[in-house]
Amino acid sequence: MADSIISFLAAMIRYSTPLLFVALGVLVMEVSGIVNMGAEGMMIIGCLTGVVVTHHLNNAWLGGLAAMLVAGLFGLLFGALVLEFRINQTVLGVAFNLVGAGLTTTLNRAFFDGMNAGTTYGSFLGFPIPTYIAIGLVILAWVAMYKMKIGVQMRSVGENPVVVESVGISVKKLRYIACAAGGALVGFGGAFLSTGILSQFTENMTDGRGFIALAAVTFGKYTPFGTLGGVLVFGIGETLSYRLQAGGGAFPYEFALMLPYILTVLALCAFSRNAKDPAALGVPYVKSH
Amino acid sequence: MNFIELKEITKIYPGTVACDKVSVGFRRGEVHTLLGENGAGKSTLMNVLYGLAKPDGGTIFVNGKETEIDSPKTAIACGVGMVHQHFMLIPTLTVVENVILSLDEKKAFIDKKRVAARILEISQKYGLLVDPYAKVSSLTVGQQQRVEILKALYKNCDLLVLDEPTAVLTPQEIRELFVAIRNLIAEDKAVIFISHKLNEVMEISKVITILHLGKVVGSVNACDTNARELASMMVGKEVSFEVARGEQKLGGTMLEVKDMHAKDSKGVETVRGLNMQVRAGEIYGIAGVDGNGQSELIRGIVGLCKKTGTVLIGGEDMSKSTPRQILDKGVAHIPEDRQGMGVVMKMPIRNNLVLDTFYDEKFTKGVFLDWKKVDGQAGYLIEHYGIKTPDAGNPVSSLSGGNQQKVVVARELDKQPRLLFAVHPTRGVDIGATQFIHEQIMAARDAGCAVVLVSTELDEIISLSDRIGVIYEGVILGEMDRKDANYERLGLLMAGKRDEAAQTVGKEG
Repeated sequence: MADSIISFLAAMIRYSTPLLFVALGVLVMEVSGIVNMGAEGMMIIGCLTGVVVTHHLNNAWLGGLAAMLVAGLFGLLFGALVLEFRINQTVLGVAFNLVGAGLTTTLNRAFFDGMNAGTTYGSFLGFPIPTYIAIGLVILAWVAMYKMKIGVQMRSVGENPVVVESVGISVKKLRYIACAAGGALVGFGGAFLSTGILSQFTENMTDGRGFIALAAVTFGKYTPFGTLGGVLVFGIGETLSYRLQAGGGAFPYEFALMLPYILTVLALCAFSRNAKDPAALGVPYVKSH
Repeated sequence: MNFIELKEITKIYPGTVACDKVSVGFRRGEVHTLLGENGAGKSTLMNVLYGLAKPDGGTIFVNGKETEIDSPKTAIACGVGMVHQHFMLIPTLTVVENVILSLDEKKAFIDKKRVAARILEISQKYGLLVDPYAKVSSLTVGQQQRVEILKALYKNCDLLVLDEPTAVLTPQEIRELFVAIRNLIAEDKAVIFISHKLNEVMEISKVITILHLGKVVGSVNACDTNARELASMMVGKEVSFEVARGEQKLGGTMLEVKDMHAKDSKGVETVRGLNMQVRAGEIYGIAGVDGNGQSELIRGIVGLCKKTGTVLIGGEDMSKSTPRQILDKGVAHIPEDRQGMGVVMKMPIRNNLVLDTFYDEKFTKGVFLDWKKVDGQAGYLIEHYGIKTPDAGNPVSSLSGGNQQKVVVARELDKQPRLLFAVHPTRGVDIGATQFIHEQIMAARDAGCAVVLVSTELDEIISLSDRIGVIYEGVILGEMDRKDANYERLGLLMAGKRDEAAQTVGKEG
């Protein structure tokens, strides 16, 4: 019994790792006041980039780095469209998801079909090293948000950009930083899914994790450790779902597949009714002076 | 010597000269008030001083030296601190985090302990007590203002600009603010006080400079002038504080409230078994410190929040009626929150002027609005109520506070109501518009309307009301006729001291 609990927890932690990166990326952007509805699209781009670069350079870390770079650039593009042209963030997010899915599907079919990553990340005490990095990032995010100047500024810009501008800090600069860092984290989450958990790219393999990440951040009331909690809720569901499918019993697998999502929705309903979004979340900012 | 001197400052905005060769000097150790109506150029002048607006002409001298102030950073370096009317605070951050944000220091890590210690030190020195680790959203408006002042003092400002600081404060908080201002003066700081509440200005200022239409009308010492003189300089014509009241035509009871209870948005019961009656042809003034149930009382009566108890309007039980049904009984409402409840800021003025009557046959053709008729009505109201705007199609947000309120007053009074609720009708409104709104309310009363006037300004209550009730912790603690009202008695009742208030009656004779 104890063994099976430990193996369940271990699986849960492993399956939660990609989502944790993505959720932290979403968190960074949302705290600064930008709704990243396009995380799903940025993540799938990370998935493909990760596999392709890992395969060619035979190094998972370089694959992950490349995914960060590419998705980070998409993050910057998202930022530019939002900050310079003030495009509606929700609509833009949907567009990014469509582009991400379409682009990766087309490129994959045309050039990389069936490509195997070939290698993966090293592991330590049974867990892949990126898992430790992800947990380290949760702590780092907490330190940055509550112990560092940049965190005070980021939280402020998500609440009231006018105040931030009034003390001579550039709202755009802060939000561009958030977009680039957020995109890169989301991208690494994608790469870890395709080269750390699995070893190849499949179409739409992100399976809504970009949206689940949004839910996890809301569940976590826009705090790093809260977000970790939200990610683990989904992780429990996902692990249970695999177990139920693998068990081969009478449990209909369609319901097993639904489980992580239903659990996430229930958790949101139960614990996040009073979650207060950053006041300026999704609101375009126009400099007044 | 002047600490800071502005010389012949000119600032031109398209279409208007906001400041026209304005010269004024500010000395250490004194409160210098800038007095003027909305649009007189006070804010523009302060924006120039704080580096937020670039002047088209003129020079600024700091300690006698010509200085160019091109950004708030330069202004702060010169020792200028500014407390804006709308606070520049992040509500979800703590006090100390807000101060840190405003400092923009070079270090990557923040040192909350050090900053908090310094905040405490400054706050004790000037009597601006506030918990550095409290979240700003948990503070009262008065405490939030202290945080703003602390932010400026933290950066070692020598001249503090307070832009209409008392507009949002309760009388008690105003006392505390004045104590702090006197402490600042004692420490040889200069304070610029911007206001149009004459009694306060007379009380706190040493020097008063009056601006009118972008020009300096004059600079006077507070001890050499009086409120009446200031008012006429400010408005550019003789002002009468007395509102001419016609002969009272007292009618039957128009509003009766029996044993009403209501809760505020946090679930706290703020109206606790309140009873009142108002007759046609009288103004019933409800005096009281903000937050004693005024808000929920009026919202409850007009059907905008839940309540228990009985509300009779013109003898009919309207306790369970919807706002529309209540309005249809000839009720008009000038709400407390002008921008939130009174107008739709982004909508054109003309739409706002028919906001609760647009469905009337007067303005419709079948299911369509008849814009010609709406325009006709809007044009009539704009002219009749003197709303200053070039075009009825402009959004209400383009109007000054006083003109926004005139839109509400015009819309509500044009209905020729039988019962009018006027809640803080002149809050944030300049003297000219205040006088106009008072006259309109009085005209409604003379025409036989029952008026319920809610205000925290005793001057307003005393000059308009026929009868006054003081609300305290959700009940009417005392009522009196106009002739028996005085500041002392009302003030004591507002503080909940009924017995002491009763003793003042005899004294008056």
